[in-house]
Amino acid sequence: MAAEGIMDGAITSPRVAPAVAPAIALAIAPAVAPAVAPRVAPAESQAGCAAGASGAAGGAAAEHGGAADGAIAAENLCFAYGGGAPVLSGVSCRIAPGAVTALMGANACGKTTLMRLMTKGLRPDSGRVLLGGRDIAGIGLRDFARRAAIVHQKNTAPDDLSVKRLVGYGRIPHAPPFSPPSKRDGERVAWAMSATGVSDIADRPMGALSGGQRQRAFIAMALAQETKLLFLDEPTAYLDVRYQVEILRLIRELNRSHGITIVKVLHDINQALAYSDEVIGLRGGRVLVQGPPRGVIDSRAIQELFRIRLEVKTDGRHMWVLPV
Amino acid sequence: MTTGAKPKPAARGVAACLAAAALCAAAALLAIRTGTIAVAWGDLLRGLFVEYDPAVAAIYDLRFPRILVALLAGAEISVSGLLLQAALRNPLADPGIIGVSGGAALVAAAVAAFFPALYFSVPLLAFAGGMLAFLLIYALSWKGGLDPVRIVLVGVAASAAFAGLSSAIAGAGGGTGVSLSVSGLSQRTWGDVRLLAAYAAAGLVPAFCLPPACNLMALEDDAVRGLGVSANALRAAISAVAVLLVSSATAVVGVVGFLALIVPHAARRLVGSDHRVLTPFAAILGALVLLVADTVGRRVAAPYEVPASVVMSVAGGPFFIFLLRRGDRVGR
Repeated sequence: MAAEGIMDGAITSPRVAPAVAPAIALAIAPAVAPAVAPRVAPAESQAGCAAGASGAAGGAAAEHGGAADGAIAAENLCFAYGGGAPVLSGVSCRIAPGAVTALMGANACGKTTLMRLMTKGLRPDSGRVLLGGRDIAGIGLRDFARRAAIVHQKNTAPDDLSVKRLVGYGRIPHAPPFSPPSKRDGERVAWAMSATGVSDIADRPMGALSGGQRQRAFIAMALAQETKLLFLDEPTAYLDVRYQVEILRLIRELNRSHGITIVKVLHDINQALAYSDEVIGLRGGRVLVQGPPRGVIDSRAIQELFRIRLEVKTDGRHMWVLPV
Repeated sequence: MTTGAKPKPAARGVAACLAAAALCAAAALLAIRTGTIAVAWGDLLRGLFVEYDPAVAAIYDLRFPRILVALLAGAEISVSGLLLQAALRNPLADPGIIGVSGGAALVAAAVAAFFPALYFSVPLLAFAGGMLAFLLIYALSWKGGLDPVRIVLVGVAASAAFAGLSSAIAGAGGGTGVSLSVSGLSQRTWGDVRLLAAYAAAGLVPAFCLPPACNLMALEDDAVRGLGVSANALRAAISAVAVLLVSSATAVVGVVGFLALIVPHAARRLVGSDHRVLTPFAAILGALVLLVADTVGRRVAAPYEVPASVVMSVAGGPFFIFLLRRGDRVGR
């Protein structure tokens, strides 16, 4: 797809062919899962998560080289809101380039905070976030917006704003301030709308859209930013199940077809397991598990992450938790 | 209720602005003829352009400045409300309600009472007062974010305090016979027009450059930041222009309630929420509304005058309730 190879070298080579990644995960899973303990003691997790877990992250990450430009990693992040109790205490993790990664964990485990720290929404008390080897604290807001796009959980737009104009806002990081849209802007907006399936409703006002269409419009705006990295905070919140699955499939499709590295915060365990190449499980402000779902998730891991005993089922292709 | 709102083509926006401008011109013509001195159109034109006529001269010196001040102040105050609503993402962010006008009026009153020689700087000093009030209220309302209800509550309390202080100064300054907190358009001179025009230009020109920023502010702060733009920087810039506009208007005509609240909401209903159309339209509509309010006030109980701000409150209050009852979600 033309989407690749555009930005100033902020690109890793496209991910492993779609069919291969799950295969790797499958191959590794049976062998590794029992051996590599999914649960790492908190103390070890600080040091262990970056090195140890990326081993389990599979071939995809290793192939592209750890310091590949566009790769994002957290190093020993600590954060507390306004002098309160620490939300994150020493989180280190590396997002596998070209993969779909889900941040999961119980309420208040720090997953959204971690995402905000990784996207310049918050400043860490200590530790740092590296994007392509550079501390993001030293990357300007505008520059960062050309490398990583974020779809937040809560989105508002005027009811009478057209989908097309909303998606057009995604070009702001690329355009000189207040200049008329260039030809390239028009192309990217059209591409973003077609990739998210909102081309047909381009001229509709936002107020007339369904929940699923709205969410896709906001994802299209993020895509128009032309980044190799896309963050989504609870992309399925407030949607009924049909739209939830639709959005999750769309996200996977964006990853598979356009090579966009995706990090999403997900509440639903099964959605996290089914639609991710990698999961990062947080508890109490620390990384508890990181790796492909089949490698690191079992009923003991679920119990440690969510403090509830649930059965984890698996068949040849799927893995799921019975949340009852 | 929302499906009816189609994106408005630019042509409709231009047409709406032209229509409002035409109404404005008509209202101005009517206002020229309204008053105790009655002059026919022919005499008026002759008096203005051909030969001296004492009746026409009186109209030229009294009514013309008054009309122009009403138009300028109406535009300034309305655009100020529009900008504040956008910057604070709060449909109740009226500079009168949140205390900015009160702060500006207080400083204007204090300067007029204690340093009358600074007459031409009054709008500038009022701007300083309005800005201080805004920063104070902003700081007091900030609690990890800007809660719309909180800023209104703090603003109401602050404006009460400012109004009390203004009255105290008016009492202390005493003896001049002119209430310093008077809000009205009577006895305006060409000097006032020139003064206000200068400040209106200084405020309206940047305001007409801000629509892209105002449009962007309709998204959440996080989303704005995600696009590589600091929402706080935008908010500061938009607010500063809003405060400049309302402060200079307040320095000349006093606090005019409701105008900054109602005109943006009414304008949004008429032309939609795109600030590229909304900003000029709100300016023209605001000018029209304040002029009509002032003219009605001059006419309704002649020979006594009802201040425009009173007409605004009396007519504006019910109109605002009507807007709310329409159950739309303006400003959201």
